[in-house]
Amino acid sequence: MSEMVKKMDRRAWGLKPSGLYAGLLLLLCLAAWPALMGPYVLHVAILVCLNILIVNGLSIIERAGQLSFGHSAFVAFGAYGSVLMSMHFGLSPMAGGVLALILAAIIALVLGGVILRLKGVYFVLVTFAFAELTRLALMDWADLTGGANGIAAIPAFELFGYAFDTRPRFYGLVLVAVAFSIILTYRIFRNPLGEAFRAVAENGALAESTGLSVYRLQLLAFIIGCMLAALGGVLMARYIGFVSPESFNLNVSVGLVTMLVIGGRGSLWGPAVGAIVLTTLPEVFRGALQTQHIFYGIALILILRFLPGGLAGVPGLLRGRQKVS
Amino acid sequence: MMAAEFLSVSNLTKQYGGLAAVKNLGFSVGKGEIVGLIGPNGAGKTTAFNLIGGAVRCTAGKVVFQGTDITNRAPSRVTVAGLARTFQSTSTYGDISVERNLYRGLLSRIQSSVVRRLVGRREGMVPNEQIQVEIDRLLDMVDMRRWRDVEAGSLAYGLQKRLGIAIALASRPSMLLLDEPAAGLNHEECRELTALLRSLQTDHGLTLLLVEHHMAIVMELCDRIIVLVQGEKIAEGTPAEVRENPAVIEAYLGAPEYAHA
Repeated sequence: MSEMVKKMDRRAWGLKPSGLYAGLLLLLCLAAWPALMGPYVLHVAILVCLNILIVNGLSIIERAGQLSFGHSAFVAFGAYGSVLMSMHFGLSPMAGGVLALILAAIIALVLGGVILRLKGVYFVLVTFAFAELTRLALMDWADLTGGANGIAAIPAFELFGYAFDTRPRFYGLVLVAVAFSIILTYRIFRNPLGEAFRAVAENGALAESTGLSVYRLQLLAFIIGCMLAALGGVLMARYIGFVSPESFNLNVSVGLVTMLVIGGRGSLWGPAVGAIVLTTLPEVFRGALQTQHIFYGIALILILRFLPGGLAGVPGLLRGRQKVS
Repeated sequence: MMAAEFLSVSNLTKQYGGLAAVKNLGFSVGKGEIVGLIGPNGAGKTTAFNLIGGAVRCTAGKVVFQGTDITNRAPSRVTVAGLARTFQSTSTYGDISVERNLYRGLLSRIQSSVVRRLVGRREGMVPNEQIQVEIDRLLDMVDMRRWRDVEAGSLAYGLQKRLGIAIALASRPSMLLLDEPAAGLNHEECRELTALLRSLQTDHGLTLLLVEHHMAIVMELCDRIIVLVQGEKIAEGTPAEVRENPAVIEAYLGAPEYAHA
């Protein structure tokens, strides 16, 4: 890596590689706490991790300038895809999962290939409709997917004969996946590719005029982001042991976008912060299940108005430093 | 058609419903020339530009650049082929430094990057170690070295436009399309712009095609001028020829009977 790229990278993130490792270490320390707190806290921590993984995917798409309101569909492709392929072709969870990721990438390629050609808000609208369509298809295609009943008794994830069938074991697995997704995001955005994503998001016409294909770059970001969502789905199905179309409804997609916005768009730690806050809060406010969505709505509006960088942007603001998104 | 033609446009037409914004436009630009595209407001100059650069798809016609048919190619592919453009309004990434603006301009040329694979084959690749050198070269070309670390959005208007040209140069074009480079510039900035464009031609061998309203600049710089009125070419020639052309005078000043009224 040249000096220039490194220099650009530091300005882009305000983060040296040491910052990444410090952050990962902090996250790991945070992650150690639930492991000592018993099954319930551990369960919530696993859900947090799955959400970080999925929202990291959404973040990559967003940082290339597109907002997907159908991210849950790709979680569904990962979940259903891996389980069905394992069931029907007798594949190991690992092989089924890999195939599901490839399936999600192909669907993202085809869907993105069509709608990224359109300018304007079509992407948001079509991804939104696509997620609903996916859910309805899972519902109606009962022969294959089990319809509204879903698929139950999914065996645990297994790797080289080692089963991740207890919570602590699975927690370890999902932590590795989260670390992978954070390092992947970090690496993308410290490379020319990430800078091209930023350029495209900030001023598409200008980026295009310098030889960057907005279409291809956004398509690539969409495929990477959707594969991370699918990875989240693969692991989620194996952990919960049950999938049904309702786990992938539009509320889930909207919830993922909310996590991204509240956590912080355009920042490496934003998705993690958003996923932690918005996964744990409902657990804390279980008594106010009906009214909590009102608070999320208000929080979303307040953040968009006063904290465009999200919660992850707060330390930067406190230090009085302008952050480039 | 001559083989020496650098850019040749033939029968270029853009139809918006029943309205032809550009009608059967044909002209060519030779290597190293500076050609001006002028005309009253709404004459279709910018549309013609967008058609050549690929930002707008043409209804009919053909654009050939350096022997390659680039008609209706995506703008990024036109740029990669060596034909870059600037924009009418300032077009920079406002929140980042001048240097990083140029870095972004260079992205399609950075070797060993995924971006390059998305862009496709092109010439003038820059190895990673050479990026800084290339940025220095660009800063020198537009004489902006001392602005290197300044945030682009906080630059004076004239400098932002200059940076816009530098960003276009970063893609290492052999020809530049400039959309009203002098618009909004003061007298002094216009003088600097003229000098800059001239040096791009003489020192760097670039071919330029510019849409411009500022007649003094057009008359001073251009080797040839093409006059568009209502989407059609009504005249073409050296600045002296165009200045004397009755059709051009009528288009700009109105028909003689009104002019004398």
